[in-house]
Amino acid sequence: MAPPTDSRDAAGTASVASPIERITSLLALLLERRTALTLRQISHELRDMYPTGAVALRGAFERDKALLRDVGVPIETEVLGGDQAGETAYRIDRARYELSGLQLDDDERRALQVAVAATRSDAGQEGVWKLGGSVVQASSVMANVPQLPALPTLRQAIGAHQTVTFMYHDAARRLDPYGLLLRRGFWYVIGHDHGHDQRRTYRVDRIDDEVQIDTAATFLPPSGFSLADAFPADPKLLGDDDGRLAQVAVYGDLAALVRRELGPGAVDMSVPASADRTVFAVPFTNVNAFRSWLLGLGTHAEVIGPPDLRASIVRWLQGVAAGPTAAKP
Amino acid sequence: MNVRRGPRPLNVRLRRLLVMLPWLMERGGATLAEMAERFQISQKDLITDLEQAAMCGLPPFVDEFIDLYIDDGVVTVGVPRFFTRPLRLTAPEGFALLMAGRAALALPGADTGGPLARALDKLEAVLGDDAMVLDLAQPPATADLAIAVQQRTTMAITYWSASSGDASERIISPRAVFADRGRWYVVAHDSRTDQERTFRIDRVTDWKPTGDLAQQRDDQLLAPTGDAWFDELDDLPVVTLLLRPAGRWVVERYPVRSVTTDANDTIAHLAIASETWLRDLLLQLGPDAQVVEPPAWRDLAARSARELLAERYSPE
Repeated sequence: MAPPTDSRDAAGTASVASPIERITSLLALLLERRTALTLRQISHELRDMYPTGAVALRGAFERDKALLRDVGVPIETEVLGGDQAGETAYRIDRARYELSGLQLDDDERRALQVAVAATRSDAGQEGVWKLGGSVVQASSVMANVPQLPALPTLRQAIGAHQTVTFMYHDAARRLDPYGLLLRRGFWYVIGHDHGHDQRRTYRVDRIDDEVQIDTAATFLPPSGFSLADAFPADPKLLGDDDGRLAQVAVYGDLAALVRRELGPGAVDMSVPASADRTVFAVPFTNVNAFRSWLLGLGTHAEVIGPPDLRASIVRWLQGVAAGPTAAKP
Repeated sequence: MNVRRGPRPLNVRLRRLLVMLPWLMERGGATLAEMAERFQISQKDLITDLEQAAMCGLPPFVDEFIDLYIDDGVVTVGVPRFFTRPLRLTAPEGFALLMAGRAALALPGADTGGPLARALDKLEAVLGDDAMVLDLAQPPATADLAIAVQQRTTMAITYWSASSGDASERIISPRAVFADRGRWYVVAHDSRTDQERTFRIDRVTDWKPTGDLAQQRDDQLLAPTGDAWFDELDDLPVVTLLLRPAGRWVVERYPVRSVTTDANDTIAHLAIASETWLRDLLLQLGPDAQVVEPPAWRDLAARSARELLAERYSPE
């Protein structure tokens, strides 16, 4: 290797060590020493790598520390007593630094690597490398799963049973998060909301700015809680309206699709079927979602009952037919 | 994961170093070519980073932390002292691995009792309860289409087209299957039009493997990420919509070309698959949306509502 003296200038005053050299040295030093080191001790050990002026030294060290933390190095601080009273010292707990306790067999590592290919994320690739895997090959079958900055923090809090705080619709929320659910392409966090003192579901992409973990506040997740059943997958059933059945006639080839969607049991046998027309009994508790579903079927469907529901659809369509100005309140 | 141009950010370099060093230490050495390939880095950058890391040490520089040298395209390490174990997983990495694993278990054809499930159990033991469910509910044809992609066989499908309102039969050669915003799609060569196109799998009403091999292609078609697949459809008409707050879900649900929001209203430029699709969307939105451009569609919603009323809701 190149002689290390190459990296220092003749006077030895200004730092000319490359940032990578300095940061890896700092990391190795903190990993090696069992006791915490003050900045004074660090700059003495790594002399010639850090600038000598107090302000420049502090600035360079803070940048390095932030960078190490950014890549995941757990640097702990402690305030010293005794003759160094008040001074801050820094240490890295090797047990916390190292990835341990995760003995994956080769087939498990490969399976995880293939899995990362099916969602393709940069953080996933970094994780695969740490586990000893190689380059993640792209896949022909995959799911585009939204990657949101709040998700890793939420999962960490869920894993450690810690309370989180965040802003949502301009209000501060405090939540014991039970789990994350991806449904119909959106991420939801479900948990106990302190402010409302009840279970709540929040869309993660609508959380304003950052999620903070309150590490001091822990909770016990309820037993028997099922994430998948936290709320219905069908938006038509996602409301507080009384549960009702709509009679919907579907025309032409679209009937086959609707039968697949609702299941064969949804065909309303009380109405005589014809080759061109099938009537379905469609449960709903959310009339807006029902209307949206119905109109998404375009001209190939019509609600035939109950009469008040049909009348409400007619009123909606008349409002649209009257044009945008008339539709305004 | 592209090789970037311009100066590489320090955190990227450091992160990569901290995964490369333990790997190298464990093996005792590797060729530059192998490392560059494995860790997706140019050989030039690799040499720079390894050499700079190798300089780290405590004065008077006899006590090197990393005993490493590069000679003739080969990296060799001496007795390893530091960086022998990889750094713990960061929160984003832990999340990405668990999420990928859960997603893969929900994909068509997943082996729920195999090595992936075991790997996830082990990850969970290290990272804490995972409590993550990915509901990637698939239309019934998805699994068979995914198999056809893997086996490069063709499928006979019946596909319902919203614009014609009819179902039609066609032979397709599926090349990629993907989920986006809660819907599943198959990219396939369509024998009817002799073109590659993207089909919504929930509109496939019937499907049957033909038993024939698809025309041999050397290239694997990768499933598109993000909005890439939609952006490529640049011959689609674009509509400018003014959305009231209650209609904002459109920009969350569908890929948009651009969005601007003022105090209340949102202006969205949306590529649309067909006039029929836009018509059905406008009927759902009702008073919560207005077409700004093109002028020809400004009265599309009102016209369509009148047609639907006349066709389906006129008094007997």
